[in-house]
Amino acid sequence: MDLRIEEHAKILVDYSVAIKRGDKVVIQASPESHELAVAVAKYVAKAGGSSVTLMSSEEIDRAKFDGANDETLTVFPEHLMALIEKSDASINLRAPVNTKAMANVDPKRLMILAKTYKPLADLMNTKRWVVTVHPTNTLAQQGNMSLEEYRDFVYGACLRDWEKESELMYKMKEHLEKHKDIRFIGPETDIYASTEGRIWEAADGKYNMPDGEVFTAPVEDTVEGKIYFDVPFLQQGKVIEGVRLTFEKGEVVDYSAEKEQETLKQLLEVDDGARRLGEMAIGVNRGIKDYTLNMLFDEKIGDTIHCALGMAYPECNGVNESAIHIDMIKTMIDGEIFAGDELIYSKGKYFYEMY
Amino acid sequence: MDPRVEEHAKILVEWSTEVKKGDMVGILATPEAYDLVLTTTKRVAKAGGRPLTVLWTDEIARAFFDGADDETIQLLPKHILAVVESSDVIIAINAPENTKSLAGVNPEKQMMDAKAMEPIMVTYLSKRWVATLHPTNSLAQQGNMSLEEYRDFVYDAMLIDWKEAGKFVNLIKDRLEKQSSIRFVGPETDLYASTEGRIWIAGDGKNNMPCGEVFTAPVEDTVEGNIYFDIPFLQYGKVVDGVRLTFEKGEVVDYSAEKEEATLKQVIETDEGSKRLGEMAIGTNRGIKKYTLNMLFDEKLGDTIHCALGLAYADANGTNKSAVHVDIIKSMKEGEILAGEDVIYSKGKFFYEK
Repeated sequence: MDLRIEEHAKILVDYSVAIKRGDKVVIQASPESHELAVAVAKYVAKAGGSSVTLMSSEEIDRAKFDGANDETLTVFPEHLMALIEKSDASINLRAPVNTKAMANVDPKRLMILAKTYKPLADLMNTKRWVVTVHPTNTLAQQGNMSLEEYRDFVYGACLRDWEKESELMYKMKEHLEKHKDIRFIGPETDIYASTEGRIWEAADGKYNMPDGEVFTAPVEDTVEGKIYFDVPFLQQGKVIEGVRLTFEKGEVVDYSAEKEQETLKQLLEVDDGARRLGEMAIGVNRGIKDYTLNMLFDEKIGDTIHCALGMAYPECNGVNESAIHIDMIKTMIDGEIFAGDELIYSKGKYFYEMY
Repeated sequence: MDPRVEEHAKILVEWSTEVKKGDMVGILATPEAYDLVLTTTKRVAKAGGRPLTVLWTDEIARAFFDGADDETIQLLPKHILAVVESSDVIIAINAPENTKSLAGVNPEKQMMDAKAMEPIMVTYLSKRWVATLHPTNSLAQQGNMSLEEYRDFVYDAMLIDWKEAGKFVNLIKDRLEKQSSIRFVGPETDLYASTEGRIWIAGDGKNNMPCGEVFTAPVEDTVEGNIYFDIPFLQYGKVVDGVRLTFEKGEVVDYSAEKEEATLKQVIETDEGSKRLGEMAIGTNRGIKKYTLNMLFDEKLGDTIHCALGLAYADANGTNKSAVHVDIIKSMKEGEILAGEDVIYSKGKFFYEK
């Protein structure tokens, strides 16, 4: 076994969900992440927990849709609910066999099932949980890499000293929360927002692995200025690139994209909330060297910021509502981040790296 | 996909477990059984049930043993108990990647785990359940076949008309239950037992797939005579062959084996119950063409009988207790089976085939 799989498992079990004696743990894996599931099962047992592993995949989901009629889609999974009720933590090892297996399922039927599973998702959120990725060919292909390259990429992002990373993220959160606003400055960019009464969250690998961002929800009607996002992103099967947005009183008043402007337009027109920012965030994971069109990784790239159009997180005290939440990323190597009059980041250095 | 994987799923869902609208269905599987998981999931959904697949592999079990201390092994996994309790149906698919993954685990730890899991096993057995197998290279290799040959072997045994096959095993059961004794006669063999008060169970593919046997638990102290088992079997990693047993008042008084006699000795000396028969049975599945050292298949071979040393099934009204249940098989092409005076089987033909 690749020794990095062991290390990955150790981080998930010991750091992310911190398994202790007597814990009941649910592991979710696909056939492609069996090796990681084996390693996680060992570390859970070492910590004194007992685990059960669920096999899930897009193909299995697809088979459910292919077999079920609409009434069957509303049958509540009581056995899964019973399992989660008795569990203390869940560890989700995503490793798709084929990311497009669900592409041709009627979105209306997806909504029916999502509604059926809602109480389950709510219950899961009350437990300790973490989502991670195990490298597979399908993900490597999506990221334009060989499997071996992609493995290096994933483990570079995940196998970090998370205690130390966490300390730095909390330091940044503290500094940001001393002030009442945030400002991103750079090429073609000067965007400002008030953060009064809002909370900055340090995403330090407890729920996502990899992780590494500090994020908030800006005060909805205070966003002013313009921004140029130079990192492409995947939305509705399309790669959108070179987005420029101009804000007045929190709303997008002008926009353009170098590629797929039509898709950007559609997104902005989804609802009222889609024209406002639900999130402003700073990526801090220097283990992620390049974007791969996978948001779990891209939004955490070190020396970047990202903003999301649409829904805001209530845990940040955000109130913007929308059916969408679209993250867009900008590199900051030539930029600066200010909170009030404090320089948080400047051209490759966070404040704690400046002195 | 091999269309036989679809057919297999259909039999498991519609015949063995009869999944209906609203049923909560647990599927136990390995990555090797992925194709069968997909077809079974679809069939369950078609029947209106809600499937949930548990990834259950020897490698994961091994990892648990490698990581856990004794206290952790003895812990009852309440979340697993909860998911089994709230299920109506369980479909357990055996599809190993490596049948020897647990070989290096201390048997005492395995016994400890089995004891901790007992409430879960008991709950599992109270549900509609079926144990089946999906062909893998690991199993093909154990059966001395290529994967393609082994697939043919497996599907020939399983993809039969179970309704029809069910009729015959029930016919045999009815006939056997009219009498109060059973006798196996053949080369070097004349073995008798009383079956008074015992139940003959017709294995018609509900709990095992493949299936095809009619079995009971003989009255413990009535087994008399001798028997020669000419089909080898796997026990504790060893192939035991050519077993001869002599019984008096239900107990083994003499034994020998052409191969691995020491292993046979170990089995017989396990405890008091392992010197007695817990099961006597007739195999009826003619779709199984040869033995493969896999008991799920071998004990169902058509034109064979088998006896098990050790634990008796309570649902047959058996009372013999033992930590072991070791099935041993004999071909009957040259033998006869009698229940009381009634000839149930003679040299290749069941009574209803005359």
